[in-house]
Amino acid sequence: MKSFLAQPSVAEEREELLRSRARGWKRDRSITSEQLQAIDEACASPWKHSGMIIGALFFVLTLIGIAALFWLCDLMDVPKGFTTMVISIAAAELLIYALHFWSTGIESALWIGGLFAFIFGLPSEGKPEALLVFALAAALSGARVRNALFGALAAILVVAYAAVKTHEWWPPVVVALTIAIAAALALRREWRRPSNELLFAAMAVVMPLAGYIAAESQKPYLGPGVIIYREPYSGPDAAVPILVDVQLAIIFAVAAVLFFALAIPRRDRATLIAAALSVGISAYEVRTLLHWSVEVQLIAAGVLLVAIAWVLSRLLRGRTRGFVVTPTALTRYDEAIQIAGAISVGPPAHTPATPQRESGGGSFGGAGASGDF
Amino acid sequence: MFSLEREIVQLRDNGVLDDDAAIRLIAIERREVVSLYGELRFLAWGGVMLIVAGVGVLVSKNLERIGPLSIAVAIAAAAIGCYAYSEWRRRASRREGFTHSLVDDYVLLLAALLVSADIGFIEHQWHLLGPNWQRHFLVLAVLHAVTAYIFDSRLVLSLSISSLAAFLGIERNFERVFDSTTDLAVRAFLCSSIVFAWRALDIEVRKRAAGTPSRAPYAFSAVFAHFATNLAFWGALILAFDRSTRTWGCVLAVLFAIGSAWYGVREREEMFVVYAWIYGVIAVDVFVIGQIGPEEVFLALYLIVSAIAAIVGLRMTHVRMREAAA
Repeated sequence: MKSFLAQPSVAEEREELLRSRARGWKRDRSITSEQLQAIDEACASPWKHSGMIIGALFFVLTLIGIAALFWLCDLMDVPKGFTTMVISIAAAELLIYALHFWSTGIESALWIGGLFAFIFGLPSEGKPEALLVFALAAALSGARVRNALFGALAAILVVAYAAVKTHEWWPPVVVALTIAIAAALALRREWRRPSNELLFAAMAVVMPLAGYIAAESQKPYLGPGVIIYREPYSGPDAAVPILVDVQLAIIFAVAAVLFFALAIPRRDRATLIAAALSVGISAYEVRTLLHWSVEVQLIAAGVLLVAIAWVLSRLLRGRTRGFVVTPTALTRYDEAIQIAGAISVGPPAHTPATPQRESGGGSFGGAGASGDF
Repeated sequence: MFSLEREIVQLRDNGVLDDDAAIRLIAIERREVVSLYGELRFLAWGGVMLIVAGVGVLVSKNLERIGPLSIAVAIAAAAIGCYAYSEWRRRASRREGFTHSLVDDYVLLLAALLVSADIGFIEHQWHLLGPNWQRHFLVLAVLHAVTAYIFDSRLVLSLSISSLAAFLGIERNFERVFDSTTDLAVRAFLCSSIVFAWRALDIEVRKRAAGTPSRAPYAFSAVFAHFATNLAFWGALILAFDRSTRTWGCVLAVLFAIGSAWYGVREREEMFVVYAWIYGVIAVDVFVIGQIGPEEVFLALYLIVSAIAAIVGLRMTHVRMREAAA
C-alpha cells in the first residue's frame, strides 16, 4: 500500500545503505568487485540518489535557483515568500513522486529553500522567536526528506534561541548538552531506518560544539560576536571571566565522561566523537588558568593530539576484537581535505615588504609561518 | 544503533558473499570490531596543522626576543628530526614484520611544512636571494618533489606543486580571482602547463620502470591532474572576471570545460566532469550577465534558467557515468 507521503520504505532505505557500505567494503578489500556488482544488482531501487559531492553541488545550485526565483517575485510585485514556497515545494514533490528523486540534494534544497523563503518573505520585527520559526522549518523539511543535517540544524537554531533570548552563557549549554545526551541515549536503541540513526548521530556530534559557540557568544565580558581566541587574562577584572571558563570546563568535562560511559561499552562512533569534542572544549577552556601564550598553546595542543594518536595506535595495535586500528583506505574526500589543509598553511606568494629596521616590517612566507612583524 | 546484519546474512545465504567475508562484515555490524584508524589519522593530521600554526605565531611574535638565528636553527633542527624519523621508518619498512604507524605520514608532512617555514623565514630575514627572493619557492618545490618521490607521499607532492605555483606568483587567496590582471592568468596557465607536463613525464617514467604498456593510474597522477585542471580554470576565470578580457576568458573556460569533461568521461573520474560543469557554468553566467546589464528581471530569469540547466546537465552526466561504471 502506498503511503500518502512518497518516500523509500524501510527496506529500500536499508538496501541503499547496504549499496553505499559495500563500496567502502570494496575499498577496504573486504569484498571483491564481483561481489560489489552482485550487491548492487540485488539492491536495485527505483529511487534516484546522489553521492556526497554531487548532492552538495545540486543542493547549492538549487538554492541559487530558489534565491533567483525569490528575487524575481520581488521584482514582479507578487508575494515573494509564498510564491517561492509553493513553487519550490510543488517542484520537490513532483520530483519525489514522479521521478523518485531521494537524497539527490535537489528535493532537499527545494523543501528547505521553499520554507525558508516563505519565512524571509514575512515582515520581520527582529525578535529572537524568529529563530524558532526557522527551526520549525528545518525540522519540517528534515522530516519530509528524512535529512539528518536539517534535523541537526533545527537543534542548532533552538540552542541559538536559548542564547539570544536569555543573554546568558549557561542556558544554550544546558539545552545543547541535553539534546546531545538524549541523542546518545537514542543511539543505544536499534533503529530500523538508517536515517533515524543518522539524525541522532548528527545531533550527538554537533550539539557540544553548538552549545559551546553559543555560550562563547554570550559571555558578558566579550560583547557581541564570537571570539575564538583571546590572550590570557590579567588584572583585577580577570576573576569573573576565569570563573565562567572554569565552569564551562567542568560542565564539558562531566559531559565527556558521560559520553565516554555511553560510547565505550557499545562502541558507538558518534558518541565517541561527541566525547572527544567535549574533552577538547574542556581543555580549551582550562587554558585560561595556565597563562600560556597563543603559540605555546597551539604547539602544545598539536603535540598532544599527535601524541594521543600515536599512543592509542600503539595500544590498539595487534588487536582483532573491540576497538582496533585496522588500516582503512583514505577516501578521496579525506585526502582532498588533508591536501587542502596542508596547502592552506603553505607559503603565500605575496611580495615581502622592503626590510625596515625602524618600523613596518612585512611578512614572510614559510609554510605554516605566514607571519607578520 | 543500526545494523545490516540481517542483509549480510541474506547475501551469504543467496551466495553473493562467501562465509569469510560474511563473518568479517557481520563482526563489523555487531561492533565486535570497530576500527578507529580514520579518527586517529584525523587527530594526527590536526595535530600537525596546530603545530605548524603555532610555529608561525612563535616566529612572528618572538623574533626580537629569541633572535632570528636561534629561530632558524631551532626550526631547522625540528625539521631535520622529523625527516630523520621518516627516513628511519622508511628503511625499517623493508624489514619483515614491520607495521606502518598512522603518524608516519604526518611526521613527514610536519617535516616538509617546517622546512617551508624555515626557508621562507631565512630568505625574509637575510635576503640571500636578493631581488630574486621568490626563487626560494622554487627551492622548496624541488625539495618537496624529491621528498615526495622518495617517500611516495601525495601530501608532500601537493606542497611541491603549491610551492611551484607560489614561485610563479599565484596566490592562494580566492579574492584574487576578482581583482587580478592578465599577468596572473598567464602565470596560472604556465603553472598548469608545467604540472601537466610533469604528470606526463611521471607517467612515462613509471610505465617504463614497471614495464607495462597500459595506462594504469599511478599514485601521483590524480594529484597532478586535479591541480593542473583547477589552475587552468582559475586562469580562465581571472580573464573572465576582467571586463577587458571577458570574452577570451569565457571562451577559454568553456574549452577547458569540454576538455575536462572529455577526460573525466574517458578516465571515469567524475570529479573532472564536475569541474567542467562548475567552471563552465560560472564562465557562461559571467558572460551572459555581462551582456544583460542592469535589467534585473532578465537577470533573475536568467539565473533561474541557468541553475535549472546546470542541474539537468549535471544530473544527466552523473547518471550516464554511473551507468558506464556499472
